[in-house]
Amino acid sequence: MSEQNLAGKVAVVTGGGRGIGRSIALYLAKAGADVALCSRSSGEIDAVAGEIRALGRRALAMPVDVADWEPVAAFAGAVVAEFGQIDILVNNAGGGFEVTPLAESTPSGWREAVEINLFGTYHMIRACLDDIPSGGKIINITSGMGLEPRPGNSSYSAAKAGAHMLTRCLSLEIWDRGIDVNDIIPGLVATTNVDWAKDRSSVESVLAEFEGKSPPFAPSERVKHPDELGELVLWVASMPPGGPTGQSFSLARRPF
Amino acid sequence: MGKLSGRVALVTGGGRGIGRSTAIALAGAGADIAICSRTQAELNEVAGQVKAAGSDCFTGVVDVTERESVEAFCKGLVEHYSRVDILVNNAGGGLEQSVVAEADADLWRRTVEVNLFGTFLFTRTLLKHISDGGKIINVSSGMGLKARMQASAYNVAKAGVHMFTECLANELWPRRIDVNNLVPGPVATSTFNRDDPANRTPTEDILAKFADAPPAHFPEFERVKHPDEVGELALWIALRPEGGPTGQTFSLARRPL
Repeated sequence: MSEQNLAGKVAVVTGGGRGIGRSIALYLAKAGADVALCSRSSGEIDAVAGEIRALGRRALAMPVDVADWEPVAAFAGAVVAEFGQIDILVNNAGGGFEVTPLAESTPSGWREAVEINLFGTYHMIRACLDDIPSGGKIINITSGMGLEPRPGNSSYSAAKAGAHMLTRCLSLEIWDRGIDVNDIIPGLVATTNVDWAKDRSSVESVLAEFEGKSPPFAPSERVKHPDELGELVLWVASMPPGGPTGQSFSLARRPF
Repeated sequence: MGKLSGRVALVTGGGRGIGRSTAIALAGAGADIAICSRTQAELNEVAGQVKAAGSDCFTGVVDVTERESVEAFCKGLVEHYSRVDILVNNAGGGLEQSVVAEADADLWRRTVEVNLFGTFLFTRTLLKHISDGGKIINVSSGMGLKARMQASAYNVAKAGVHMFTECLANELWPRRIDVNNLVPGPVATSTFNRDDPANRTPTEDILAKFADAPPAHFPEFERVKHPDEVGELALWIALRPEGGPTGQTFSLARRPL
């Protein structure tokens, strides 16, 4: 693959300060794209923006909670004012917040997961769509949990199932604009917000805990480095126009 | 040295169309190739391309629905290469194209045999010779996930392939063998064009015929692709590192499935 096949393109990565989002942002930048990042706090995205500028690309970092419409709209406006258009939108911001059975959930905790994972994706697409040209790509990071029911985290599962359907509905609405919409299912990835690692202080600490073994709840899975997701997003973002749309690309090691 | 140098890949239905493109793509990455189909002349043409890429090519005429035929081919293949690293179950087709009320029972059965039983038979016969860490790629179809009219045998057979992939993935991960589906979407092949076997249409002519719109039974937003695009995806799946995706479906379709 050409090192510079995204030269001149503009990418937006939500939740781009750490973990999967950081890897995605850096892979797209290494392939030539200018990158705009957001997350709820500014320290980490500022650092990633610095890494992107060190690669010779332009970067923009703005603290935004994608659950809130107004800041998302302002962020999209700032990206377009700075870079002119948005060729690649990666909706990565997400997470499971209140990991608990529904009977013990709180309405605010349940709502928060849906607001970040589903509304956050919707908000970003709605705010950016007018400025995505033909040949653009929208990539939503979803989850196998949105396809297969499991007990104990219904808000996240329902939100990710919603994002999965959003990908498909949107693909049918914008194919004639030449924009492809797909989702990516990471499977298990060593990030600092996984709830199944004893020591989740860093990517390396999680990888070390699961080197050569799998978590007990998923014996067929392999705990991956976030860079494997960066590589997959780059591959999907680099597809020629008329490529797959309305599809899922998964690194999971379990049928859903 | 290609990334697949020293690996052995079998592509069933490797004489033309998607299978041909897949065999040539894998050879381009350095793999030695085995191909089978019902037509030796087509196998010879592909073998010429594979050898021109610097790879070995083992060929055999096989009816994928006949157990003895498949077993004899696999025996020769194992004698020649001693193992298989990548199995691409590509042979398939829709033979029965009527509504159920008018379907020919023999053609219906044969459609299921070619697409589903053939995939099982190659897998079953070769599994002990597939190296740990190997890849199995089953060419499935969007029609295995969504029903269409006048294709129930193909719909059902490909749905079976889809589930077979998932069953195998669950059984084979301890051997680090990854098993995935490839959904091509519409592709400019002779099968897709419903050619008379005695008079096959060149790929470029099929592409030209559907350049503006796919056939009426596909939504207007599907694009009829060159078989080489599917070969590229098969190569990408074959190149995933050990511990890559398994039990998944990789699709070039442009309609939600």
